[in-house]
Amino acid sequence: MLASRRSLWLLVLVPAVIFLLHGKGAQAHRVYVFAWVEGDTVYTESYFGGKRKAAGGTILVYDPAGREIVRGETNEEGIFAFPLPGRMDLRIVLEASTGHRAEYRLGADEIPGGGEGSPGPAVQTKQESTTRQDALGGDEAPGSQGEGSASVDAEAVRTVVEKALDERLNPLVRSVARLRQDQGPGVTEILGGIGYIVGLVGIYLYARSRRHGKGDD
Amino acid sequence: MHITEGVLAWPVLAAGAAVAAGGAALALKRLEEDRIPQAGILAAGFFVASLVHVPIGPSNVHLVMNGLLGLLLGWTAFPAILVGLILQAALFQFGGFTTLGVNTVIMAAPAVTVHYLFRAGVRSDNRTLSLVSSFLCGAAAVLMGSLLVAASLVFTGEAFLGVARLVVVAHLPVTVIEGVITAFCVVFLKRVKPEILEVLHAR
Repeated sequence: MLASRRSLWLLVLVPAVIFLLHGKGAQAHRVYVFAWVEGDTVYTESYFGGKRKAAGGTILVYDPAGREIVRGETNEEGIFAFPLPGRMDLRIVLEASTGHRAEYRLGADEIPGGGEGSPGPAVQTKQESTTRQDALGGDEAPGSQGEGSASVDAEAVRTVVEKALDERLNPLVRSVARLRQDQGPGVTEILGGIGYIVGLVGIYLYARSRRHGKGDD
Repeated sequence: MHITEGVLAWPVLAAGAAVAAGGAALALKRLEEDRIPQAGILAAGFFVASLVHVPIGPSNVHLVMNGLLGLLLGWTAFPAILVGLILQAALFQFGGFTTLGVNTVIMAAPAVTVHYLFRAGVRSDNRTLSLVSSFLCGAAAVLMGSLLVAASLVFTGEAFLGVARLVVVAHLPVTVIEGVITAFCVVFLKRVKPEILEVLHAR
């Protein structure tokens, strides 16, 4: 009787404590590193799960062949910036002290095109501006000459638009990436883990009691 | 106190896995039936304790609770901590699966050590001695764990003293807090459920 009342209390208390802890922002104990490109510079930001900046960590940057190309230390804000080494997949590794490590892959497609650019969008912009020019400039014949000037314009427009978009979108990209990475353990995980342990105890006890052939008590 | 994947060299990982598996197997063999639920509850406590962050000091640290676990469980700390770490790795992404063995040793070896070091003091009828021993039990377990972290990182080329100082200093607040928690738990158990502490007299 007493025992059952006690376990009832536990059933109420344990989840309550967990919700309390969770509400207070119990955070994952991991480091994260995230990188983005602005112009010709790659910025990396490192932080612990609790949104605490990881200062003084070492950032190692590897090219697709696995060679280390950049090495540096994060500042007080957890930021480390280095010049863009070119359009390629970069593997950015953070080594925070005392055995913490995180990795981020900056794909070539996440790097805004400098000169050569990615072919897909470029062609599209070209066509768009050509048609627009056709619509506006009625006197200009839609020949090879018109197309040439349109492509020059498209190039300029593309650079301006890309720059503006970068400015607008970068904060958004950063927060999305953070959201994607920084999912601390939820109540589901916590209760699931506890349930798992209870289950293990049950299975172990069951196995033992069967072996001894006295499963009745 | 969890070492992340990709930091340690494979011989360290292998040695850690071997010691952890051996310790867990040995302990499970010796585990008495009526103490299984207790081991489960303490494993669950260990599993959750890692979510309690201590926002003091230079680094991002959380409770470990290996001292209390070791005091109450002895060798059973090995399987209990192993299970807790597996679930932490799977559900919280703390540590990792390749470092499971090393991390188990880092937290369980001090747990077993403090059990044998301090159990005589803790079970003493002298209240002050018991209190001090309980505090030291909780604190020493974290301290030894920090030193083991430093020791496993040595083989990756970091200087032992430098890392050891970093890890120990980072865990200093937790060391003190765990000492206090362990002392509080022992006082509480002695008053409310002294039969749990019977293990301190065994063998």
